[in-house]
Amino acid sequence: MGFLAATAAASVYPSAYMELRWVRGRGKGKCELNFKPSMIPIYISTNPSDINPQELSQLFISCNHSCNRFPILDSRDRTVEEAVDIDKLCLALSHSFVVVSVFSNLALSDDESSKRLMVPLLGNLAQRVVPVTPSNGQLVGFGRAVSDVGLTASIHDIMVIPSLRQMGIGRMIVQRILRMLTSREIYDIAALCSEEERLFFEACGFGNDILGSTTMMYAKTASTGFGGSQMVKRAGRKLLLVPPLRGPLHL
Amino acid sequence: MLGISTRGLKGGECLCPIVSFGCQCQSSNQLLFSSNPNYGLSKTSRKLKVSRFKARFWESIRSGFLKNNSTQVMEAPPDLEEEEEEPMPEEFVLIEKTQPDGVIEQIIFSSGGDVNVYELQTLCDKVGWPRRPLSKLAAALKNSYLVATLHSIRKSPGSEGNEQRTLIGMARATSDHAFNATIWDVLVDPSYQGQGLGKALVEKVVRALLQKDIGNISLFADSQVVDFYRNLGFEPDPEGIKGMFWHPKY
Repeated sequence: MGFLAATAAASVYPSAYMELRWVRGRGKGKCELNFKPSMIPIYISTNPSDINPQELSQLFISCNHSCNRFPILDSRDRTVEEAVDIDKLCLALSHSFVVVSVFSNLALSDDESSKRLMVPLLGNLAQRVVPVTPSNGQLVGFGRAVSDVGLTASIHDIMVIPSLRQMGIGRMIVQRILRMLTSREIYDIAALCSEEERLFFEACGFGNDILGSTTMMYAKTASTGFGGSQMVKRAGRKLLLVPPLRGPLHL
Repeated sequence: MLGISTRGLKGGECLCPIVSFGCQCQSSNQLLFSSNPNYGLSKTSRKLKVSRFKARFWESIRSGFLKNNSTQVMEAPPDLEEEEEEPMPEEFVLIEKTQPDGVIEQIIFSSGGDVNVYELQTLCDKVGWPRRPLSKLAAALKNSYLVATLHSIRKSPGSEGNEQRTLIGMARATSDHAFNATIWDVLVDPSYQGQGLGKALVEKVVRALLQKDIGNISLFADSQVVDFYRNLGFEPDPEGIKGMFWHPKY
């Protein structure tokens, strides 16, 4: 039945951008009915027009992720407190070489996930047979890469909603990005990651730089002792100092 | 002697890529993604028009696919002629020296102009970097958000405008034009090092990026230049953020 759904989808959506994939549900927690973890259909796309920026900014919020590397965080629960700048997000998307989006129509919030296992298999039948598409599904995963399409690329903003994590979706997103990059002969691919993200990227085949380079980021902030003549730019919670213009030197 | 170097040195197969994003389109997808050599500094109003065009273009694409179609129909796109103009490079003199024999040497900073890949290859040789395929180098330059160069211009007195122009430094940055930028390939001719030219290059690049509100500026520094960047305000592994690289399994 799963195979039929896949072929039905393939004939309706023949484009190379789109793929219907199946991921294995987590299946943990008590289950009276004792059936196996369900296979969930997801739709993975590299077509940028499948992305609705509003939905994407909602996904950012659900994943507690920010485009800024040093976002303003609530001091108690470390949730991102800045709003997503939609215009800037659209700009970033239009200048990202690869954009991956994942859709599902079976995503649930965390408190519903244990209930899901109780639902008889038959109840979900209709949902399983109808292929999920960007228009009938919910955006549940995202990732993008920026590249000079010659030598290098960097991966940003990989995210999957909490209720569908640990099913291989994030890894699928990264692998799709890698596929797009290597098909253009780009092999120098970097990903900036926080401590929490490191294990994930290691599992995706990333590691420390074999050339032994040190990752550095511009982090110079204004010092208070220099009067009001410094120009600064806000980047999340940091106020970065803009290097001053210097006049020509005559020697 | 090595130049001030950042990462980005892998060799690879020499193959001209067909691209469909943000560059001179050679494929039939020209309709969707307009050409835009993304050299950042000089063309503020032009860039604004391009980004507005792209944003509005996105709107139109979206409105065709959303179920709740509440977006307006896109108005006619701005005249594409504006995008086909050659961007005026921003240039200014960094240092001017008069030699005892009367020759005036100027070090010119420039961004937004074309870089001759052969000249760049020569410069990379001088700093001791391994060679990279020229076509890939050219593609990388074309698709970088910002390419900043240093040239030495030598004018002999009485030579009536004959000048000798040599590429002596370069830095480039890739970016998504909004949040993230990575600085790759910073290099200065060894015979011009030690004068603060590398520092000026990087400062200008950072300044240009910040002025466009691009706040995540990263780079991958070789061990011998970590202090150089530290003095410019870069922090290693800030708040535990590290760069990881893909290790292909063959």
